Amino acid sequence: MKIQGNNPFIPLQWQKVQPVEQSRQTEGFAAALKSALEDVNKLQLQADDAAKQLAMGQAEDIHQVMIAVEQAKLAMQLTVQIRNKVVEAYQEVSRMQI
Amino acid sequence: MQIFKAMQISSSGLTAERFRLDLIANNIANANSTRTEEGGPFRRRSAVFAEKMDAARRNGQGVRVMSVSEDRTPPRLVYEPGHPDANAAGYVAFPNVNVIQEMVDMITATRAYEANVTTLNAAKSMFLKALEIGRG
Repeated sequence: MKIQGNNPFIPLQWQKVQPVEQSRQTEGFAAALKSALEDVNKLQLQADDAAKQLAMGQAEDIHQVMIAVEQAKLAMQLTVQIRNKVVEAYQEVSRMQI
Repeated sequence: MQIFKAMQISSSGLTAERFRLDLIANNIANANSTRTEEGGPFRRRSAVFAEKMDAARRNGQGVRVMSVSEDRTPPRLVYEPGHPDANAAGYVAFPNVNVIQEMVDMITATRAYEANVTTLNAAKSMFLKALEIGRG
């Protein structure tokens, strides 16, 4: 019997990995954090708009409102996690004995 | 955002199924309509779905409603001479809507909607699991 399908011992390769070097040179961590925060903020505003439209009876679909709110919530949780990590790193450095 | 891809795909599925339910509701509501704007009895409508493709990546982007097609099967003829829309022989052309079939379609649409919600919740719990990496 011939078994078809993916060979589990060969790692999947579906897309070329984007070269990181370029972005590393042009933007630092602060810029990346800023753009991520802007994305999160945009999601929050979208969720806000969707909820407002639902309240005014103009929303096309309830599920779109729910998804927008859920996305905003998840993005917020991710932001909080990143913040926790940053604070942790900062505290680690500040505890350093010189 | 790329991380919410699965959610957006599920969202398109939810929208499509909701649209299908709209059509089914309209079919059932007009199951006895003998007059339409185009003339003749109402004709059953159904949605044609198509995959939304993304050329760059090899996965689709969800589903979209391609078109709304009208059922071309002949209308149901009922002998009812007193009806204002009866023809010379006394038969009235009623819509080709089979309410039982519409009920079955309705169950299918509801279940498909639920399946999409389940996918969405799975995507959400995967995301939340990822946030637990490195904790504890």
